[in-house]
Amino acid sequence: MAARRTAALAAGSAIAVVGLVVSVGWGPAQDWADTHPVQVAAVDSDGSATIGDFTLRFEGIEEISGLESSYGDRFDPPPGWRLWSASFEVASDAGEDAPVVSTTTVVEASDGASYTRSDLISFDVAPDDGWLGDFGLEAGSFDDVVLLPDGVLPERVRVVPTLEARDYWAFDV
Amino acid sequence: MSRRRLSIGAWGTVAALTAAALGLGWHEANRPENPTGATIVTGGVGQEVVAAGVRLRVDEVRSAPEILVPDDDYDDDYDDDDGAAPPAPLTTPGRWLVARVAFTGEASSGDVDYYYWRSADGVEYRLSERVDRDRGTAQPGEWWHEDLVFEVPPEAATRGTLLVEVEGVRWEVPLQLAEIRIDDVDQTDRIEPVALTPGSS
Repeated sequence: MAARRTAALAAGSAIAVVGLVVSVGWGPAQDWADTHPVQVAAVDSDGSATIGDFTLRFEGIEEISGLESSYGDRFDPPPGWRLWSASFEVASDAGEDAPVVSTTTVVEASDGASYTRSDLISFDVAPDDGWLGDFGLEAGSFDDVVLLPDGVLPERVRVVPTLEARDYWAFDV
Repeated sequence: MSRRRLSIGAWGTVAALTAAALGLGWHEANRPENPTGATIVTGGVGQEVVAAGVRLRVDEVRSAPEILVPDDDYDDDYDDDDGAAPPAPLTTPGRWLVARVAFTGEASSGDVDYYYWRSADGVEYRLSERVDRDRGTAQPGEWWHEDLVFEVPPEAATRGTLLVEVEGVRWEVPLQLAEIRIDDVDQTDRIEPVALTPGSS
């Protein structure tokens, strides 16, 4: 009888401790698990890579002379800089209620630095559907642009969800 | 009927559970919101410092009782020009403190999240909310310039330290902050702060 009572007390204690730890630590543990480890998506033979509901295919990056919107607004690269445009094809299996995944395009360049779209490039010259991932990833063809110093070439293009520490896409140029 | 007393083991279990509950509760209540263990990068006026991937320079610091800012009440419907609001004077009970800074990304794009002015007696002041400030991200080699505007008591407008917290590094360890010491603030009658603009260096 005493042994059964002791066993019951021990079991109850264990449940109480587990309950305490879970109630305190569940949130932080979930956040950590959602963002670790951070991995780059594997690129398939057709050049596409998939994370979650989104498949990106990198179409290439090329130097362009400038940008002009459908309203006639224009952007020309400043002296000492060249404008590069990266193109992507996005396929999506996300449902209507899926969370929005915004992204930032990062170009790793031959000078060892990483570049994102410059703030010199205003939204006035953005495409009508926006740059890649600006309003959240969605199916379709999208571009993004970066300015690189004269003589510097793009070597790798990463598409990084703007939420910290998330898996990302990366393509060699 | 005799009363049964709890054994020492049972009391020990109760004590351990209570201690665990109290300990976890204390931990949750006292978990620091901000990271600690920052390393400080120091410099002076005109000197470039690199903190958390941003290269930054303070070019000058001035103080005045009045600054000129775009007039919020200006009605551009009656303007024959491009609609730009003419500057209007803005006064303060203390002194305006205006620090001109330039920054660029070091090996990746960067931005400054917060600036604070720490007076000689250790009081810290945020940027004035009466003056609009544009935020911008600088690419490596792309310099941006802006005037930071603080409102401070007169005694805090002669010398101090500009504290710089760079964007996006709050949860990295070690955190890097920049502290730029200004020993002599230029005193003048009026300042027209310059908004965030790109420059060559």
